[in-house]
Amino acid sequence: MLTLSQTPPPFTPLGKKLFDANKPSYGPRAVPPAVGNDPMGNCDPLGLVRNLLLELVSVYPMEIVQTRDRVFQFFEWGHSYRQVWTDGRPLPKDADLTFNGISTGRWEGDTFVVTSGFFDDRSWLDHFGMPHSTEMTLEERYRRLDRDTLELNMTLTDPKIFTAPWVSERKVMKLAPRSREIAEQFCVPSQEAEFNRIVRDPAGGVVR
Amino acid sequence: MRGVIERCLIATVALLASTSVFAHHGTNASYDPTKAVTLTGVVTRFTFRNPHSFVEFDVRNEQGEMVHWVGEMNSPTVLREAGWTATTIKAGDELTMTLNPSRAGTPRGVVNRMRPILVNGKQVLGTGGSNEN
Repeated sequence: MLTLSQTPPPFTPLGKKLFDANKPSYGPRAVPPAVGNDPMGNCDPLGLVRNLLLELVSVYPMEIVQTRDRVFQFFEWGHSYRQVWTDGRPLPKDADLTFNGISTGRWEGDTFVVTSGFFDDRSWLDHFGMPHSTEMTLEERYRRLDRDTLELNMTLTDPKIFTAPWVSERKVMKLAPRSREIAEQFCVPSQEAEFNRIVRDPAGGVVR
Repeated sequence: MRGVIERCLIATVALLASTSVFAHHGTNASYDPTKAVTLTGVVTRFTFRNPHSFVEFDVRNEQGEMVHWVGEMNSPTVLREAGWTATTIKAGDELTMTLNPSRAGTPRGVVNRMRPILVNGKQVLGTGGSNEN
């Protein structure tokens, strides 16, 4: 499922207002992309949560690379990456907002725990138009169940949008064959604009 | 046990993927899955690229007029898994394929890969897969 779980917590009034303003092209509220406002339709960055979800549950793989002081996750979609600092530093008190935020990681037994914040709020959390604010924080808990299986549980906290933390369902990933490499899957704005002009907009009955 | 992943050290990688698929962007919002139209025409361009591939072809309608149709397809990542390449369809080919047409009534559709696709009279790649992923 391309979201954290089927049961998000209730919205705050602001959360509901932002959710209603987002017009996705997936799920029960789907509208033709031509008349929606999904940031993905212009190749805007997906933001960390949505990019993670896309890599977790679709055909796009991610690659994890560890170095002495950082863990990198390379995402096929958008040819993008995020870094998790593992040198013991805490999250900063203040920082610029970015689509992938700032992340620190530590080990709790067998579990790699990643805490993130400072997210730009222009992104959606998922394909269904779930909003978030700049105050969102995310905890990811990774555990390798066996050689080929990695489990991820997430808790998203955003008191401006949700009245309680949103705990994900358990996500399970499988090790891909070594022959599978991350492909160059840039979302190219000029290509997407051409697609929108030739296909998306006419298909949606929109003349621009 | 601590650090099973950590011990993989520098540039040791875990490449992760799930076999799940997801609905293509807005497919059922833009196109009517309950309708199907099978068209034969001459390809003017096949665009095999991220995030959406599409094929353009000219089809003569019942009134004898030439109509420029465009069929939306999946990303190369998905199509490659089904055996497609950038040259499976080429400009100048005679193409027969089935589309679920635009709800807006415009000559646009999403290509139904579960129905036979003929290139110059020969079926390519068999049928199968889904235009939903």
